[in-house]
Amino acid sequence: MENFINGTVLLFTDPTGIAIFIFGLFGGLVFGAIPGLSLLTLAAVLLPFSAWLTAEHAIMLYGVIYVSGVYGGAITAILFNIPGSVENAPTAFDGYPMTRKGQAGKAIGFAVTCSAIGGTVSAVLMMMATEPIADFAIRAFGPVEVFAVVFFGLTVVAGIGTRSLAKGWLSLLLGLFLGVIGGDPVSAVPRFTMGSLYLTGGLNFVPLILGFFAVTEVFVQGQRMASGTHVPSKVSVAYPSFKEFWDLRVAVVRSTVIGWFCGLLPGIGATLAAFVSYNEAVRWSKHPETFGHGDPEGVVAPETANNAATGAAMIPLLALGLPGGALTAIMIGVFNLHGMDIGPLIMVEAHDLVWVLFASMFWASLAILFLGIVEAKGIVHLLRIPFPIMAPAILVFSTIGAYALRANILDVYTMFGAGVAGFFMRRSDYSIPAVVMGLILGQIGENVFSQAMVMLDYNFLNFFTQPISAVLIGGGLATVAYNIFKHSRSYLATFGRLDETTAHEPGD
Amino acid sequence: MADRKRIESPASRRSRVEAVVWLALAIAAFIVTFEFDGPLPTFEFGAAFWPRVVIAGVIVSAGVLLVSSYFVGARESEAVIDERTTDALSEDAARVTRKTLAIFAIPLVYVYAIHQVGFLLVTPIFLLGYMYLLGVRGWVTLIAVTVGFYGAIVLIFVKLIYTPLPQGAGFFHSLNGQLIGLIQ
Amino acid sequence: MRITFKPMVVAGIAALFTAAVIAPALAEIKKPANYPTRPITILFCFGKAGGSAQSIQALQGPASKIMGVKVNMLSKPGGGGLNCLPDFAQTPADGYTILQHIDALPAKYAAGATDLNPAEDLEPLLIMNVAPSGLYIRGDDKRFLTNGKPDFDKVLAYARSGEGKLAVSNINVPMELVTMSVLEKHFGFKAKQVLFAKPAQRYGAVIGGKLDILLEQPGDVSKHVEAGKLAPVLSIWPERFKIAPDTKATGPDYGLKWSPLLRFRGLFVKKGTPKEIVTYLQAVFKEAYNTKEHQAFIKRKSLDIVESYRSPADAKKELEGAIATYAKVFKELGQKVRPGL
Repeated sequence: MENFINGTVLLFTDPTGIAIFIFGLFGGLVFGAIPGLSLLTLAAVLLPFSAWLTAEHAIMLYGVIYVSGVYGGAITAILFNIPGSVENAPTAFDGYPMTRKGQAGKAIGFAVTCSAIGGTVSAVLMMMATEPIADFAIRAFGPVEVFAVVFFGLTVVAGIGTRSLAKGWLSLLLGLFLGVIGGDPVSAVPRFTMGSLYLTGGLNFVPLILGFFAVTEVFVQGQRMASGTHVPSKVSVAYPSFKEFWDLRVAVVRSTVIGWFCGLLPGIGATLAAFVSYNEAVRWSKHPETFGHGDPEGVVAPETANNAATGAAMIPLLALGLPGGALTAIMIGVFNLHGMDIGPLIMVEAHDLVWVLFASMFWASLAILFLGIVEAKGIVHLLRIPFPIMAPAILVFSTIGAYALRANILDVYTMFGAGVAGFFMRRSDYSIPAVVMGLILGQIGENVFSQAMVMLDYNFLNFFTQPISAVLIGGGLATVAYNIFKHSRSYLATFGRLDETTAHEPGD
Repeated sequence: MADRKRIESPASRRSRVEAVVWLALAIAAFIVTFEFDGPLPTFEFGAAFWPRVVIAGVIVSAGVLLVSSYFVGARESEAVIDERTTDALSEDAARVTRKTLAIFAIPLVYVYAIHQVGFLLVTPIFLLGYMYLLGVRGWVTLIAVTVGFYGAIVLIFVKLIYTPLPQGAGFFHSLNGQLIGLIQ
Repeated sequence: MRITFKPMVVAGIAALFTAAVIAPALAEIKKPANYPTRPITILFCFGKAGGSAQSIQALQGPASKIMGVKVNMLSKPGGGGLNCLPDFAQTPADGYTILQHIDALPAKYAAGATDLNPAEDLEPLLIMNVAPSGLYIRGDDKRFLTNGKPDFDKVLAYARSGEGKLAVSNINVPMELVTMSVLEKHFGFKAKQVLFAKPAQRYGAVIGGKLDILLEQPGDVSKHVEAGKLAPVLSIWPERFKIAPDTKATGPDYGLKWSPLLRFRGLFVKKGTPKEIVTYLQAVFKEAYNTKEHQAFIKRKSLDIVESYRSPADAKKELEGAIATYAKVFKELGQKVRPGL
């Protein structure tokens, strides 16, 4: 506690510190929100400048950017179906449908509050027990366990955003397949590249996500515009009531725990946190069919989790010198610039500095809450801009975002290709969230699968010799079986009797 | 199945066509995997194992979709068929189709154009044109929005953070290079 | 704080000295007309926090100051360092995209895994890091300690107790894979190797006790060694490292007569980049290499066990040598070699 107060005092006792805090907060929000800009862009742009700041200010700035940037992407995901960055993609699954239903204010309210809760709880846990937790996480979770987490997550994906289990599975498998294109993760053997240099590098998920979400949406609305059936999103600034929050308390707690654990895993970070948390919300929901159609829990789960991952990601970084994701990796650079090597000794060597970081992340998480409430009442009015004016702007932003990634025009074509594909898939009741889940989790999954198989001597049954993976793989298989059973039974109910053909496992 | 009247619907017919397309693609992809099967020195299963599991999944799922379309097609997917399609057909169908096609095609033309002529020169025309296509007719709005939005983009991406933007080819490449130099 | 007084003084004197030597040379760096007018990107082929990333970070600031434009870095990991090449191939030869690559590139070329011949198809700017490797165990892994000190004989006994017993945390880069095979052959065991692209996962697997041993270069793991999380158990070198005199080495202690493969990292631009831009960049990075800031990094990361700087001409020789060496080793190990090598 004393450490925390000291850190806070160091943070807020001079005007420069306060100014940098506020700058970081807004900078993270803006860069997190606009596709093409990400908090990584901001972090990289600021890196050379941070050399001129004092070590305390530099470290604080990055802590604040991290927290507010991870939240920032939620706003555009909810309002315009443009996830600011990958870890906000699941937020769009339900956040945007809520906006279409005229509940934008609510969706933002949920996102803001839950980001703040996730971030704050995570910061507190981080302060309490950095070292023992880091040791636990790294001993308990290796490639075998991470694969089990991914597998467990994937098994519920097929049910999201579609009524047809077969189409859900096909969407998921399409995502997995898109992730396979390019060099394989073990030896870069080219797969399905058709001799193209572009495909050899693999499809990057940024243009695909922008295409499937933002571009598809412009096409869908544009087509409605053309046929005269376009209905603009209703603007509402209604904030969620306390009761609505209370109803989702279990989801918040669950997502905090999931986000926090995923954040702990070195090299995995907030993306896995958001996706897995969304999937678990679906799995434990009493009404899983509402997901993908504007279920508030679909906003709460990923937003709580991706912010809960921020504090947790600091733990392996500070206790073991193992960064969880790209931004924490850049933080290593910030410490280096100030003559410190981040690693297991940093807690002793730079004790005050670490507490400044802790304190800044805690206060930034709380600050999001106040900022966000104002935002939910204000920024929602962007929706009043008529669609014909917004549409070209969205397309131009997406184009910049896809191109800026690595200055490759083919990424922009890929994005529009995904946009067209997304348009037709949505018309035919395929699930875009499932495609994106498959793409992201598939790439992580195949990599850890190949590592896990070596460790398990290429024997699948060995997954069941380790407690964590046994539970998760077993749980995943049970979920698949249960879903098939449930769908078969509902067919039975509709048609009077069950034809044995529907009882086959789809896509297993 | 024989003892009950089947409800044939456009949705089930479409599901059937889709299932066949999925199956065809999956089989083609499976054949392609033979180009890269074989064990790797550090991974016995090789590069083809994971894709083949995925493809097998597609085949099974597409099979289920195909079979189920024969007797449950009327139930699934039906509710989400676009009411707008039918609406559109009742109107001036040809006009709607033309406009829809333009909504899809113009962004593609835009991407091609920024690659050839450069982002900075083409974007204002695209902004103006797409708004017009979607029904904005007030000239004040058209010009104010184009100038405002374009100005903001140039300010943020070119002036402040040097984002790489397509510079076009040949003559346009150097022209855009000079433009960017001027702005920065 | 890890930078102690003495190396600071040494680095300071070295910097003053180099500044004095370099200053006149600097005036001769001819800046091409109209270059650079916008930020330069260094594309690298491994994770964002690994040795490759850190070595660029250390040069980024100095190079940016000299050129007066921002120097960005872009990570494109995967495929053992090959997944970045298509991206690089698609950039124009205008000096705005610099490729950082390592010894893996000549090795993969020798194996026929890529057609990009680094000695012919790229213009080297410099080689910036050169480092040998060693083996590391978990700091408190009682199985491999004798009187609290790491004992390679115990590791060996364990490794020989069964095929695939010893689990190695490694990376899919030929230098490391070949080094492991040479060790396996020399010591007579067969290990199980799990490959990770990200250093965090590679170290984490050993620190967390999921795997037994780590193959790595001394600089990258020094902080973990100091904290007692990892401990060096074998230096793969003809003599014991001066920085680790207690750690046994393959040459003197186990009679392995082999000139070990080195980790090296260099910067390249595309062939066909205008001559004056290439010359300019070569001069810029040489100067950046010699700045006080960068020299402190070289010291801190123990990249001075062998001299780390290689001039463009020497870099070319190093690459040609590496291609020949890898082709030879691959043949000996019965692996695939590019036809004609």
